[in-house]
Amino acid sequence: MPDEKLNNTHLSDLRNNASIIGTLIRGPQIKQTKTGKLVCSFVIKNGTMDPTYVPITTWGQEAQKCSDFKEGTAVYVNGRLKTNSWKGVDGIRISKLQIVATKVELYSKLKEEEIDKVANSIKFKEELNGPRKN
Amino acid sequence: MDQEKTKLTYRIPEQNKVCLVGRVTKDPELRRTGTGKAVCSFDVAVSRRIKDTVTGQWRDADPTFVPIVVWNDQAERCKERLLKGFPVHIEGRLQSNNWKAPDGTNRSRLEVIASRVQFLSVIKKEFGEIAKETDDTTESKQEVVETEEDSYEEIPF
Repeated sequence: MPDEKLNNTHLSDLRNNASIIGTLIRGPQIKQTKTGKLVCSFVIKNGTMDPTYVPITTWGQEAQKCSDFKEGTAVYVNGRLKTNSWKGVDGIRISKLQIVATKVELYSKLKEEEIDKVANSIKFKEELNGPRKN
Repeated sequence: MDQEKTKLTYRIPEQNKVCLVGRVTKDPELRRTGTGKAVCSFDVAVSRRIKDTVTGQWRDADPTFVPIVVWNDQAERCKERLLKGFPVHIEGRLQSNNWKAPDGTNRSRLEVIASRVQFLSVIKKEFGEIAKETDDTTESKQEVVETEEDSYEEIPF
């Protein structure tokens, strides 16, 4: 199947897809290109033991959504891998792998109260401690 | 009634999943760690077609080069089976690889640690038929799948 047909279908995910959950290690950087497009970039940290740091770039609406994320926010990112290459200060070409995200979602934990509510419901306690003796 | 309060905390899942299809850029290298574990590394060029906004024509976007690392038995099979230009399907996770360069600076790069490598290779049979064989390096299961011919673009090198 020619790639053109694949591009706009979910099948393009087969070719190049990455999905990561991580926390922002710094506030996001928002810029505007010469043509007026909004681009937002940040780095997320995945994993606690032996963490992986992944630079993320988002465009347009997703960039707008990410612009007010704070350091430490947990996000789910889905997109494709892209090599970003540029000439460093000493003229050497640097290339770095990053994710161009087509989807960024806030990953919010359940609030403490909701957790307690669930934990203290009788049904849940039975599952933890075994059924009540009558 | 039981007054005991069970305190639960939730953890954020550390999801990290990558899926790629591309071509091997150079013959893979097989090395052994100090403990004798086999590790195979190669780069995969992933390309996609985009519509040029100016001309309206479809063209190849710049390919993305992704370093892949494979371990143990899978590594040995990759070394046996893969050569420059061969198409592969990779499933794995992104991992930061940190090392100290000879000049003392800290270097780091993102790699894909492959949990699964499928060889999407073409084998020409004697009678001139082209049979496609997909080999999976996960478990020892081998499937021979007949698929219709698909055309991969020529890699630009």
